[in-house]
Amino acid sequence: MLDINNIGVSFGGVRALNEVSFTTPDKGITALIGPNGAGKTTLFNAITGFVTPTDGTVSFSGENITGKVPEDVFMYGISRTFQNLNIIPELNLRQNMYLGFIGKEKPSPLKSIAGLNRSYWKDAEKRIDECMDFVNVTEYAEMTPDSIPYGVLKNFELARAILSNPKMLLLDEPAAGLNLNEKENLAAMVKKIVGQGVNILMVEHDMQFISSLADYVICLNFGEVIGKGTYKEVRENKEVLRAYLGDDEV
Amino acid sequence: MRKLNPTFFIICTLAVVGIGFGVYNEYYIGVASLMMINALNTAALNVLLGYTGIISIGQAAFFGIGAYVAAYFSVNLGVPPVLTLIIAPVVAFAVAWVIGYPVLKLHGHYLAMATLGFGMIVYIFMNEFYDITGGPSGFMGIGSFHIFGLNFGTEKSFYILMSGFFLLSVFLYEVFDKSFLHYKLKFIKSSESACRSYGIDVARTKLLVFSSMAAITALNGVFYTYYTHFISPVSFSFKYSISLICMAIVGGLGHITGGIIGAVFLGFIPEVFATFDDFEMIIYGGLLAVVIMFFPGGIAGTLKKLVKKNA
Repeated sequence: MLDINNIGVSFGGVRALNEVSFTTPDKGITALIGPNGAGKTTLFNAITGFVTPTDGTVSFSGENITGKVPEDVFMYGISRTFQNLNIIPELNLRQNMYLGFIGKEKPSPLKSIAGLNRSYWKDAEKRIDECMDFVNVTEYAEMTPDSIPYGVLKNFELARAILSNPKMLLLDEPAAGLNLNEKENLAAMVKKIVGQGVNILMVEHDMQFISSLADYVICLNFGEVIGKGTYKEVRENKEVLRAYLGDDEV
Repeated sequence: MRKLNPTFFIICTLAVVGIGFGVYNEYYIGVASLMMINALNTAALNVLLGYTGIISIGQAAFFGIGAYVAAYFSVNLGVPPVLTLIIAPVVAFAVAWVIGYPVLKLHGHYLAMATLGFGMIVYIFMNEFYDITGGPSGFMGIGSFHIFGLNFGTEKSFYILMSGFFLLSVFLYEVFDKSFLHYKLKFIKSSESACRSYGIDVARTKLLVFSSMAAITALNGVFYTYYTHFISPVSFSFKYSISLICMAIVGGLGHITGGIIGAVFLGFIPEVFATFDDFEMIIYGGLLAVVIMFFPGGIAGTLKKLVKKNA
């Protein structure tokens, strides 16, 4: 589905990614792991168009999306979340959901001002209700973020990300800051989303979370792929162990 | 999208009608007309700063462009005033588009400095290009606004004209506030990266908003020209841009009502404290500090919070 071919990214003299290549399976969850500064988020940014690769290509469903701007990458069916929550504090969750809708199904500003696009908003509301219900956040729909638990907000981000019916979802550290219960809940939601046919690529540090979810794992270190395979295969890879534990421990 | 809330529109209508029927002193009628012009300029700035996060310290330049274009076309080229209501905003929109294209790639202080620089350049242009602008002495001999044989040259008649435009604008701002555009702009202010990753063309949207607000500000400039019959660069200086920012912050950023309330509130200061004219900016600055420290939502935000708390 997602084919990364010899991607390289440089920031001035710093080589953040170097000849990174892998292909995600057609179905399931791929986890991207690696120590801090390995280049995971840079790779996410290169895939989603926030950073232009200096070499290599990114293809999605057979189409070359290298160098496309984020707005266009989204139109190919790739949706993403960020490490930080992007929720407007003064709007309730339902209102915050609109961000996931108006970019794809662009409403007409003139029709909107004239109040002529009621059917558009009816469809939007219906889809928003479906997605919020899907990740069990409906009961918080009319509440503002300051009165909602962090774990629920993380689930809400998933609801918003699937609002546009993406083919692939990129999750940047989805389990960061969650307690055990919240992580279990999030893992269940992620599995539910995969069950709908959405392919997931996620950056994550929590190995327990990854082991319970990932079908395929790619490990980066200093901008290069040092291991890939199933969770078990990567866990036993000496280079991966060296990157995490150091030479003495391996 | 959301239901319109007519409360603020009704309050504005009652205030405008009340002043129209209850105030006979022409000076105060004039003050009210100028307050409405300032209120609409502040509301436009509020859409930029409070909704979209575009800090512009060059709004006086667009106000001036509207005023000078209207004056030049009507006096030097004999264009009917009603046509200048179209020409001036179009010119301002075009200028804002050209300026905004590179400048809106900047953020925060850098954007503030760039718009300040633009304002300064336009101010210098107004002072130096005597043949077009009349230089520091100003542009004289501007007639009154007239349409279909109706002349709006007196204080009262101009007040009626301005009231109509003001109430129409308040209604349109309310419609905007309840439309999806409101959300779109606030999402952009909150996180441009998130918006782009959800398919929103942030650069184009910001450019459109910046140019549209420049056009609206220029339209107010046209009304200002026909009201004062004389314009000079001093009315469109850096100080006016700062005053608009003070009005928007004191009134409440991110609330359409805030811009209008702020303009009316600060508009009273020179009238009430006329003897402290030299200290006007100090009073503005003091108020700004108090609002930022103790009422970050401004007057509108604080009132909204109180209403919500007691609901």
